[in-house]
Amino acid sequence: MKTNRREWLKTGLGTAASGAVLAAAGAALAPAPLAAQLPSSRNARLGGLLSQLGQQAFWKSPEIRLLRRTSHGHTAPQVARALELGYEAYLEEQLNPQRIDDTACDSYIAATYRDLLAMTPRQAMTIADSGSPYFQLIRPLGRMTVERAMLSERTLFERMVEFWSDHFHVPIDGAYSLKLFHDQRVIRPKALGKVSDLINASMRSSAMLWYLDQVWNTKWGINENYARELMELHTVGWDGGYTQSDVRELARVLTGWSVDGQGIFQYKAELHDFEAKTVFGMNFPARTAGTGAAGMDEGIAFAAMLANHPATKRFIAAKLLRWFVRPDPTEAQIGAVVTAYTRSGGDIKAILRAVLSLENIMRAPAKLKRPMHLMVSALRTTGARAVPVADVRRDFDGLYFPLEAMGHRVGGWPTPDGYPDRAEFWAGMIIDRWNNVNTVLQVANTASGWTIVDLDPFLATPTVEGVVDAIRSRLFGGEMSADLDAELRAWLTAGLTRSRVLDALHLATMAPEFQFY
Amino acid sequence: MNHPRDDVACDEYRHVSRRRFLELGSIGAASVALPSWLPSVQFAESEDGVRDVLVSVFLRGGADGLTLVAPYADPTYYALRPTLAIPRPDSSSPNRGLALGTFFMLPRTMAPLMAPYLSGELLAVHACGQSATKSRSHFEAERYLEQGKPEDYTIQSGWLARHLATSAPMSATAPMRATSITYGMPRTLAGAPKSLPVPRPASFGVTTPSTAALQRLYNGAWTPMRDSAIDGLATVTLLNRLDFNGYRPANGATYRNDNLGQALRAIATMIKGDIGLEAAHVDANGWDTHANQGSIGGVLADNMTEFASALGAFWQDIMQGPSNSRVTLIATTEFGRNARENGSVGTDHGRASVMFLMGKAIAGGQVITQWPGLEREQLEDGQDLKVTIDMRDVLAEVVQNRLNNRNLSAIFPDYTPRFRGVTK
Repeated sequence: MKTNRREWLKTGLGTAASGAVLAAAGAALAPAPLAAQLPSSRNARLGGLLSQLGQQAFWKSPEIRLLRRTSHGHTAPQVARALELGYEAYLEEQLNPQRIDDTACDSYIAATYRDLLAMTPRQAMTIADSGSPYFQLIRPLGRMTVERAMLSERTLFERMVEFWSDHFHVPIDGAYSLKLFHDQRVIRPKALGKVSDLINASMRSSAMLWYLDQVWNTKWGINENYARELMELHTVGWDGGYTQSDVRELARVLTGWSVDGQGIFQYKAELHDFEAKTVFGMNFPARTAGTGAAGMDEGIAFAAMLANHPATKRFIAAKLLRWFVRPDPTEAQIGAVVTAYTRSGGDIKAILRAVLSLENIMRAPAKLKRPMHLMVSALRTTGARAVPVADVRRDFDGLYFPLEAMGHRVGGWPTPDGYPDRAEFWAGMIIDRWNNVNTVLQVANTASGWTIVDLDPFLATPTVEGVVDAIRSRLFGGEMSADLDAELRAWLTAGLTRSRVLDALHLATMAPEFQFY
Repeated sequence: MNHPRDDVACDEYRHVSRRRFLELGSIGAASVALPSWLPSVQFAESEDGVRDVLVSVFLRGGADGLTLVAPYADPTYYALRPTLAIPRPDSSSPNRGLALGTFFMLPRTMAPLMAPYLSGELLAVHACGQSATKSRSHFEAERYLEQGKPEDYTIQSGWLARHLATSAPMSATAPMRATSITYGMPRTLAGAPKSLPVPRPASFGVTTPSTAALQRLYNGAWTPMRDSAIDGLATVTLLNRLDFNGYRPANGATYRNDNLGQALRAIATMIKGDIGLEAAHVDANGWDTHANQGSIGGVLADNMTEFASALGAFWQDIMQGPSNSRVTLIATTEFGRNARENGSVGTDHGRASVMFLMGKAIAGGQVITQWPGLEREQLEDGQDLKVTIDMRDVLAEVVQNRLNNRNLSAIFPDYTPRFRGVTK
């Protein structure tokens, strides 16, 4: 049942619930309170928090909430656009990124990363073999990813690229530096397509097949690594009902899925095990060994089954709900998303319409930004821009290194499960968050400066009131806590110099509500 | 990041005693209310020096116990590992192992562990693992071990966190009871009161226009963030009083300039600094050796070198001589690897592995095991070293005997541990 916006606001949840919403966010934070482990004590705790929270009600506007959820921070034009279009129309626009003009971002990326984007897998492998892929592959790809998130108007698309990059995780260092092609040919083209297409593409991703040792999995020597992760991490999930024997049998099904010398997917029938297999309820009878694509149909059939498996639908639905909505999605929420999955045949746009429903977003507790999200949102909301420094391209190096220091470098997670999407994992780093969010707002007149915040929009009305309003509007979409309001006023009342305005921006990005979205 | 070499450290190490710290004053910290779901507990004693500081090292990826502590007297070992086996200690190979007795040996790359072993302060527990889960997934197995209860996805906290939550602070005013030299808190310490990941202890500080404004902002309604922020600011003040770069290890110990070596050096600094630290965690990554394992020269050998030299230096620095530091170190891994090497000169995920314990009060100088054997019918599912000792047996014994906490049912829910004599 759909609720339209007016009815929604009439229920009064727009105000009361957002208190609960923040409380719920609090309960999920680290150090994760032990009390938050049992539903009953958790609810008691929420009640207690709610009374403490009083009337702090954040982000009452559905459009602003949606915008915060579906971007790495909002820009002033985006806020205007979302309010102009309204919730559904804005969501629909973001679900169809080709309708959004992104020329500025695309041309910047194309010009800045010409060499990287022109590279072939073979060239990348040669560089990786030379033992120094860092400057030619790893750092440029990391920076390009962050800069796209920072500059793009297709913000929901970029959030989905981030989601699938964690879901089908391949590390940036390793796998012969083929992540570039995983990113360009698997994740980005299919991030809003069909789930089954993504699974199929990931099974043909040379980076993935190298990373998870699938290239070593042959009829002479089984390597289970990829078979296990294909089920555990990519489709049915850890509790999807498969057994150790299924893992082994699936590894046999996948023998022959490999990579050629050019770093491109190649099925090699000569490596395939043509004996009988039974895996996860599917029987593959013994066959005569063949050539060409013989035997590849087994993996294809199994992948199709996986994409349609109830456990896969549930796993991906719950994970997307955690990504966009709440850490503990309800059965009803999961059920609605699974239904959308089934009806649309796994169309990601249809799935996202269910995930990002007005009800879900209005009930969503505030969520802690992960470090990359925090840093990019500081740049997007303040309108910071890179400043080329004579003969050294420093553009956003300042973002690359802090992310490395905060353990959220692009593709830097060491295991196949991708970066955690759990607040308790990231929340303990408050010190680093404070320090690094400052780093990106440095004025570029020092040896270590990287970016410039254009302070003029914040000083358009050069009064204390005017600056505080500008910060409220640009950093928080028009809704900010009374505490922060008071601190900013106190800070600016002592003098309205440019450096104090910059300090006020620092303080605002260090404030509790900037840590959340 | 450049680490000074210990042997050329020039600054006199500034020892900050707890008493001195109290005189200097800390920013104050909220007390931790006991969670309601825990069974009623008796607080452990909190007099000085009653409990050990616990150092937890996690070998992530599933370390190959059959290489780390190899059973040279089990002939099947050489049949299962034609290319990966460590040569016998009595062979003439330059890569021959170092005998730990008549059955097990250490690879030569683990030589720094011989001294603590021969001093009776390093213990290995073999064929040890998780008896209640057969999961071969890194993430599940790590999670189950770290949370202290397998096959349960509702638990969000770590076993070590629950030890801290059920014991009074050793020092009531310390802002940081536990730390992890990692980016982000590991599950072992998830939910621990007054704990903070400090990935780079030597450069721990806050840049802000106004610390006071920051404290006021976080004193508001963002409760969990508030505790994290307030304790964080106090910890910054505290760690800035320690001179990590100028730290000089005792007894001529030298920490190598690698991740684990530098992490243990920082932990040693904090222990000697007497700042009220009760537990410290560090991860060692890269033990997932599916292909080209390199037991003798290669990835695994390099990992073992880093591991053994870090532990060796820590033992020399902290556990030797007149030092009265009460410290126990535990090294665990989520599971072992297949007994048989695979088709790509590596090993796939298996079951039992080996655990190490180090400390003055550890019953070291031996390998405690109920060796299950390596013949096909002795292996679990015909492929893996059987788990004959549950890791929780070992952890629980340390918690009760060295950390003085008897609330084992809260720390290891629904499990009755069998002590194996790992402490003296």
